[in-house]
Amino acid sequence: MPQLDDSRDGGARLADLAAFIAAHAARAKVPLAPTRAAEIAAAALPHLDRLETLRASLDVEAAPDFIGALLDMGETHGDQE
Amino acid sequence: MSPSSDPLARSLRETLADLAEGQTTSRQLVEACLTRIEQFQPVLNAFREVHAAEALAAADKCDRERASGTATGRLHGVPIAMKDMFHGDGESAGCGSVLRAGRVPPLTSTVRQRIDAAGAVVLGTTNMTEFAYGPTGQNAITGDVRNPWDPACISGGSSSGSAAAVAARASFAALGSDTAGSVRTPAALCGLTGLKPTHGRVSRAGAMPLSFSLDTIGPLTRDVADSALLLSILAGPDRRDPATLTAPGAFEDPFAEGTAPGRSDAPLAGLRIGRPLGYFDEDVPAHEAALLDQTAELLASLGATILSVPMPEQLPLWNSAGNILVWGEAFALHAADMAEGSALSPQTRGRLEMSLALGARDYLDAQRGRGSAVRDFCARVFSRCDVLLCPTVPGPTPLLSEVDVSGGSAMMKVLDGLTRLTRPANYLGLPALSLPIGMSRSGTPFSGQLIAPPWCEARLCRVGAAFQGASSWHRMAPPLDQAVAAHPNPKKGTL
Repeated sequence: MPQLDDSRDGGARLADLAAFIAAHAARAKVPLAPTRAAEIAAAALPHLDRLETLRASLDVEAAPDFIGALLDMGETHGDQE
Repeated sequence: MSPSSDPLARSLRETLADLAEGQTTSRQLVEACLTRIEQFQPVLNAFREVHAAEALAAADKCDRERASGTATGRLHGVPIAMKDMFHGDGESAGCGSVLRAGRVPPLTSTVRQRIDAAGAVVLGTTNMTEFAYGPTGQNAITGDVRNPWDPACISGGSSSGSAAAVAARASFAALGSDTAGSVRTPAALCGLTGLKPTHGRVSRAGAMPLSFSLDTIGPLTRDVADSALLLSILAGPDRRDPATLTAPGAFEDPFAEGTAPGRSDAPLAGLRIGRPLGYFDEDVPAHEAALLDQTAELLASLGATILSVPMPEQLPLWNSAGNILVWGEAFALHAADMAEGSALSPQTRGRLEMSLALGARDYLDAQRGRGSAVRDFCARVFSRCDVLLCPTVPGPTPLLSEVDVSGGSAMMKVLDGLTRLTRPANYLGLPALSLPIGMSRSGTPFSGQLIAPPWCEARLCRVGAAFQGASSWHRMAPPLDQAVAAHPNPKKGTL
């Protein structure tokens, strides 16, 4: 899947994302009005921007370890219930 | 009628005691619930299906067993309701949609099996947001569920009917699911107690999935002790849901006879309650902020130490990452439902369309971030406090007309507003308890949320039960008779 070019300005990134959404919809055979792609892009971009910040903080080799973290933190902060 | 003389005003535990003492029968309880449902269903649209004949037959069987001394099961004979997303034996749940009609479910839900084994009488299935995808309780297919406190307001969702049914005293408890707040939000807006367990505490096998890695199942009840009882029945390992195999131990009912703590003037002595600085305290109106202050004061009077705890600045990032996980996982399940001519509702389609903005890397990085997020949050918050106190929903209950949107930024604003404070517990996998702590100026309940470290549901219940032992917000019932007169439901469901 292509990724957004973060070096572009806001308007250009929105246009890129809208184009990506339209292409994704076509590939998934999901009907989508042309104006809808732009609406979705505007709603999604803030979340994708925050994900970009989160991504930057991840260790390059971090693997999903959610369940392990729950067990560890339960042991550390739990009541030994 | 005073609460003590109205059998439907009793809690689940009180009703079980009434049954054991011969003060009532299962048939009487089921008949009373059915009358109540008939009375308020046209306004509230809480139920999707009522199985009256089956419930009465089950009640009679329970009464015979009790009379012969063979009553077994910790919920023996008490009527409860199930969100319409738990598959029965060869019987598919409706999932708030018409798209699953006639489908043969792959397996019977574990929670239904456990509820049946405990001897409960299932009244029927409750209405819900289509495919559990939305926090308002609206459903263009099966009709909106309305709030028993004010039918002009949303019930909250997606376990909308479960909340409305229990709040309307038409069921003693109900089951719901919580992917971003879908137990806690409707519980909060309808004045109930709602418990979202730790990820992996309750099996999701045979329950309709919305988001594999965020879904949890939990009870909506009148009080904390009832939620604890139900959780102790629902919880436990299940090979059909591998997430449950990692739970470090069983959840035992902390209020069971013989194990419940004795009465104390300081039941919360030694416990540190955190008040968040940042994120969870943002955009809370003054009146509701004062209710949280009063709650903290009451908890302090019960022996707890109240501390201010700075929130990790990554919370908005984790909230967005949680959104991205739902988008990706729901799309995997429902992309085919979005085909041309599909009977998917406009609201659900609008939410599913958000998934089109994601690439695989986005989803995977949101998932990769969870382990370190759990560790960061617990290290920074639960090293300073044992339980966090915050709102469930920041402000008063919205009107239906305020949230009637089906796509784009307006929809995301509504969704973010209703789930901003609940979604983090799903992303982080933490247990969280919502319980009423006062009334908003609009006359609808306002609720606080308690969040604890993984697997610490008993700690949440201890705090919540102590609060409810010293307050009466959970005993307040909605003024339904006025509501019925004032708000005929134009989108009422058919049974």
